[in-house]
Amino acid sequence: MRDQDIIDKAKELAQLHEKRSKDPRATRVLGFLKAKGLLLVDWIPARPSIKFNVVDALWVGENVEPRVLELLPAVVIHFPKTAINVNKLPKQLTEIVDQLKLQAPTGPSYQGFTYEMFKMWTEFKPKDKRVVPLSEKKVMRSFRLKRSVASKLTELAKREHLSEGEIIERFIQ
Amino acid sequence: MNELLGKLAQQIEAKLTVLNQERLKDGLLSLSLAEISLLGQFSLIVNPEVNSKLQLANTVDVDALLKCDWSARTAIKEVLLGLGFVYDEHSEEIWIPPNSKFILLYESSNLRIEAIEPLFALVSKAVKAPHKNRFLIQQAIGIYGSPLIRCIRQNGGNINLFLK
Repeated sequence: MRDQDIIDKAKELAQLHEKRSKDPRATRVLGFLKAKGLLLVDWIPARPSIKFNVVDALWVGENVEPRVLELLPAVVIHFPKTAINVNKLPKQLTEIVDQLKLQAPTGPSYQGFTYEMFKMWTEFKPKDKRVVPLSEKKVMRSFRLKRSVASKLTELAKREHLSEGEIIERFIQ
Repeated sequence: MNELLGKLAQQIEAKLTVLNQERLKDGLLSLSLAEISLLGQFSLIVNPEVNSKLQLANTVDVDALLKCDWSARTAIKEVLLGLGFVYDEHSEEIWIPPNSKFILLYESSNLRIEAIEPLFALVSKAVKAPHKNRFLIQQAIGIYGSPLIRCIRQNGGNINLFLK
């Protein structure tokens, strides 16, 4: 193929892409990711309070901005009320989401994105103070302690202005 | 200078100045020059010419080679975080095409920031992550034309991946 033919074809595809990037599905999904500080896109306004269908997000990832696929598992985990119809995710992505929730160190890749890339976004602190990186999320534990130890723990927590859980965390870390 | 780059340089410079003042108080030598070589999408975003020609979307991770003292490295990462970015610790693994050229963006006695030239950043993306960057490369072929096509081919990339 001659260079000029390649250039003409690329220009034609770029025009199609430009048209697709104005599709309402793209403006919703990209606008949300922009609002949360996960994606920098200057041609779309931020849309912080919307819901979107994961099928639309997959379409945007396939046709407008592939980085959406890289961010999608983290969005599904951190914003479960925003991403709807999660059951429509492809099997491989569902598996990745499950592995990420379990904080598994390794997992499958998807469309050129490695598991490490997906994992990195579950640890990122978006511009939304309600979102906590997965590794910092609290999990429930219950213990039986001797009365004397329990009293000492309460006393320590009061003195340090921390919760009892934070005292144990600090001791272990 | 691009507004983002201006903020980045100014804030890193301020942190390095404080670090150097502390070292001086402790009788230590000043930090050696901190050198940042921006790579990947971030190198394109801070380039006003490319930014106006290409429709760029960027995740907030920053790919860059850092050549500096450990404390300066921490300071750079803190500044990036403050600006809403996160330094990609895998930056050293990024493939830089042979004979790549860099553009000097900022220079002082404490800090030097350069960015890989757009053509080479695009070639790196086209060769190593064609799927993730296919729309970007399509646009770029329309703008940079034959030199980009030639460079992608020379480095083992497959142009046909961008024509679907």
